[in-house]
Amino acid sequence: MRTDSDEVVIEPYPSPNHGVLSSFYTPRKLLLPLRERLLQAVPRSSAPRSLVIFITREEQLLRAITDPRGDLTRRLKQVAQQRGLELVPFEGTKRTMTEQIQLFGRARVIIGPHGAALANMLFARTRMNERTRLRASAAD
Amino acid sequence: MIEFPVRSDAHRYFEHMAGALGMPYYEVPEISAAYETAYEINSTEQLDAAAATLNLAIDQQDEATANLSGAATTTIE
Repeated sequence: MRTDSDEVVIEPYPSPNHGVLSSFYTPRKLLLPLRERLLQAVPRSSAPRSLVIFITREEQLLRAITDPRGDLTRRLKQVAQQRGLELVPFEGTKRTMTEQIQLFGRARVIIGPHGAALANMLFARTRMNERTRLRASAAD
Repeated sequence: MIEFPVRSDAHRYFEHMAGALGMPYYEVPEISAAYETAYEINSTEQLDAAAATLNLAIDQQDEATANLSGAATTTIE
């Protein structure tokens, strides 16, 4: 498996028994194996999950955040610091795929506008995710 | 994860993805936009809503961590 790619495309999964919108949902049975394979291919960081990753979309033409004074970033950073976490602004075009996987592996919370960068939640090693993985493995 | 939603059903994709991965999902409706427009930050209400949601998400992560620690101990025993 190559991990120096610039992007991962998650194909829509046909779901003819549901409505049009749900046909674009990627089901759990594909997401979990994909997640496991990608995480296995990238060295796991031993750093704590102490990041609040703020997806900015600052270089995107659509659905960017217009906040000229930086009030939102400042407020989120304040909350993160009060909770002992670090706010990291994220603009996906500036990082390699491997860097993204490692960064989101340290996420405690991901926050941002609707957009493809939210799919990086796939790499978040939250306790919730770990529990889900364990239960899925047990069910298999 | 916390999403600033778009005013269409499109953003349900990430709500569904979070659910599939077992992640809690939150929205901040005070910070929303039409599908192809920018999110305008222009009120204290928006900032307060984002801060409150972030605090809630962190609280629930901490709670989940505590619960998992207990569950893991039970499983091992």
